[in-house]
Amino acid sequence: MIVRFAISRLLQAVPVLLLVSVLAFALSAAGGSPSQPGSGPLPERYARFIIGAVQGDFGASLRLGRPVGAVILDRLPATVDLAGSAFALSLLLGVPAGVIAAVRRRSLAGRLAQALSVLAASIPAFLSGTVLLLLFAERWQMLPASGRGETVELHGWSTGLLTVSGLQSLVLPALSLGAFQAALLMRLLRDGMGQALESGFIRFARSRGLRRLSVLRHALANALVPVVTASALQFGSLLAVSMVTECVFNWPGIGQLLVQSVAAADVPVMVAYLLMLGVAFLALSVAADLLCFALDPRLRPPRTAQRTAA
Amino acid sequence: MTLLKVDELQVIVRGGMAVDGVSLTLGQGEVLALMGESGAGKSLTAAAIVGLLPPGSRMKGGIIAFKGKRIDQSNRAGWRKLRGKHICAVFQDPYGALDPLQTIGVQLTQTLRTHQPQLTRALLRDRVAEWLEAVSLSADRASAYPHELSGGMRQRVALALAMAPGPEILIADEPAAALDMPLRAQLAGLMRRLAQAQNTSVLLISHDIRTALAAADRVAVMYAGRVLETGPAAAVLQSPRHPYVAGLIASMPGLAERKHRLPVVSGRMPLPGTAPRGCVFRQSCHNASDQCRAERPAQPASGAACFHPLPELADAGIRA
Ligand code: SF4
Repeated sequence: MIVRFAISRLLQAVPVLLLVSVLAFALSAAGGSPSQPGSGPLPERYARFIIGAVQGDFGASLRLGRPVGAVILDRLPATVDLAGSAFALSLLLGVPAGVIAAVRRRSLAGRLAQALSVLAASIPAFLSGTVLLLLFAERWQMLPASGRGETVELHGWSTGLLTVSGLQSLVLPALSLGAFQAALLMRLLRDGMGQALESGFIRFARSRGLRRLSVLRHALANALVPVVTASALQFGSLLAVSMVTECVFNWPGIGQLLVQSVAAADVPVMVAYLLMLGVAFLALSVAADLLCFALDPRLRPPRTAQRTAA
Repeated sequence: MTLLKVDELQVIVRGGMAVDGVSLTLGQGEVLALMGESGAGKSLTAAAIVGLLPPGSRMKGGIIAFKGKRIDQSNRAGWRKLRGKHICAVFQDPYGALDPLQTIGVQLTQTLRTHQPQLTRALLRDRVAEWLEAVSLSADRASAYPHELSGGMRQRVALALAMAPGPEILIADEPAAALDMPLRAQLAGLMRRLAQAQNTSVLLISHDIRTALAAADRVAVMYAGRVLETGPAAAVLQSPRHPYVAGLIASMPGLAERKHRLPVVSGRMPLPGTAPRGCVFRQSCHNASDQCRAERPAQPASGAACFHPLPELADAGIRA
C-alpha cells in the first residue's frame, strides 16, 4: 500500500519538476551559456539540456573553468553538514521546548521557552550569525569564526562531523541557522500540543486513569502530524537560507558558491543550483507525505473489505 | 450505601457562577439521571466529579466525597488513582472521544493494562475481544481505526473503554447526543446492562427526558446552575412538583397524559452569573410570589426546590 502511495505521490511531482526544469532552461538559454551550444530549435535544445542535467552535466563554470557538477560536488558536503546539523539542532531544541511550553504553560521553563522562541524568531539569520560571531569567536575566542575546520574524507564525501575542530566550527553557524527553525517548530508544536491536550480523547484518556506519560504520548503523536510536513519544508528552506549563514561564517558550501556565482554572472552554476534546490524541495515534500502517511491512518486510502454495518 | 455525595457544589466559569450550590447523592448500583437544558450546569457538575473541569472553569465551593472521603482536593496522583477504577467518565462527542491515530484494539489494551498490569499479552488479547463483543462489535474490529467505524460503533467503543477499568461509578455525559433516536435507546440499554453486570452506579447526564426516564432510577433536574427537583424517575414523570419540571415534561409530546393542564415553560434560562435574586426560575414562573423574589428556595434531599410546589398527582383534580 505504501509503495502505491509513494509512486502516485512521485507522479504528482512530475509537473512541478517540469516547471522547474523549464525555468532553469530559460535561465540557461538567456544567459547564453557557451557550453550549451545555442544551435537548433528550442525543443531540441531543451531536450539536450535535460539529458545533460540528468547526467549531472551542466557544462563548465564560467568563473572557474571546471565542470559545474564537480564544482558543486566539492561544495555540497559542507552545506549538507551545516543544514543537517542545523536541522537536527532545531528538532533537538524545538520539540522538547514546544512540549514543555504546552504542558507547563505557566512554569518557569515554559515561560523561558516561550521568551526564547520569540527572540529566536524575530532575529534574522545574518544578525544572529554576526552577533554569535562577535561574542563567541571575537570577544571570548571560544569557537572558530570561519571555515569548516578539519574534515575527513569518506568515499569521496568530506565531513567535519568526525573531527573536533570540524565540530567546533559547526557550532556557531548551525546555531545561527537552526535557532530560527527551532523557534518555528517550538511554536507549531506548542499550539498543536495545546490543542491536542484539550481535545476530547485526551480528556477521556485521563478520565480512564491512564498514566500521564501515555496521555502525553497520545497528545504528542497527534500534534506531530502537521509538524512533520512543516519541518520538511523548513529543511528545504534551510538549504536556501544557508546562503546567508555561509557568507557570514565563510562556510565553503553551495550557498556561498551561489553568491559568488551570481556576482560573477556564472550562469551554468546558477542553473544547476536552481535545479538542485527544486529537486531537493520536491524530495523533501514527498518524504514528509510518506511520513504523515505512516503516522496518520486517516490519510491512508480506505481499506478494502470494510464492513460498515452498525 | 451512598457511593458519591456532592454537597453544595459551586463552579465558576469565566467569573460567572455556572453551578451554584448543587447537591447530589448516588447509591450503590443506582442510575441517577441529571437532566436539564444545555447551559444548566450539568456537564460542569459531571466534570467536577472526575476533576476534569474544562479550561477556564474552576470549583469555587462545596464538597465532593467518594465513599465518605473527600476527593475534590486531590492532587494529580490522587485523581489518577481514583479515575478509571473507581470513577470513570465518558463525555459528549463520539468523534472526539477516541484517539484517531490508534486502533481501538490498542486503546482498549492500553486501558486494560493500566489497571491490570499483571495481564499477559494473550490474556489482554482475550479481554479486548471480550469487551468488543460485550458492546456488540466483532472481535476482529480490534484492528480498526476510529474513522473506519460509524458514529454508533464509536460510541459503543467509548462505552467499552469507560467500562473496561471496572469503575464503581460511570459518569456518562450525553453519550448518545449525536446519535439518532433508535441508536440512542440502544446505547442507553447497553449501558444499563453493562452497568448492572458490574454493579456499577451510573450518573447519566442528558437533556433528553426520554432517555433519562427510560434508563434512570432517580432523576435530578437542573436549571441555571441549581437542582430544581429530585426524586424517583417514575414519580417525577407522573407528578412533577416544580413548575419548571412540569413545563419541561409537558413540552414533550406523548410523555404525560396531564399535559393539558401543565404550564409550558416560556422565557430563556438565565446565563451563568445573571441569575436573579431569589428563585432562579422566577422570571419565567407563573406562580412567583414576593417570597420567591426575596429568597432562594433550598434544594431538598428529595422533591422540589420551590416555595409553591404543584400538588401531587393525587390532588391534581382538586387543583384543576
Ligand atoms: S419558588 Fe416561586 S418562582 Fe420559583 S418555581 Fe417556585 S413558585 Fe416559581
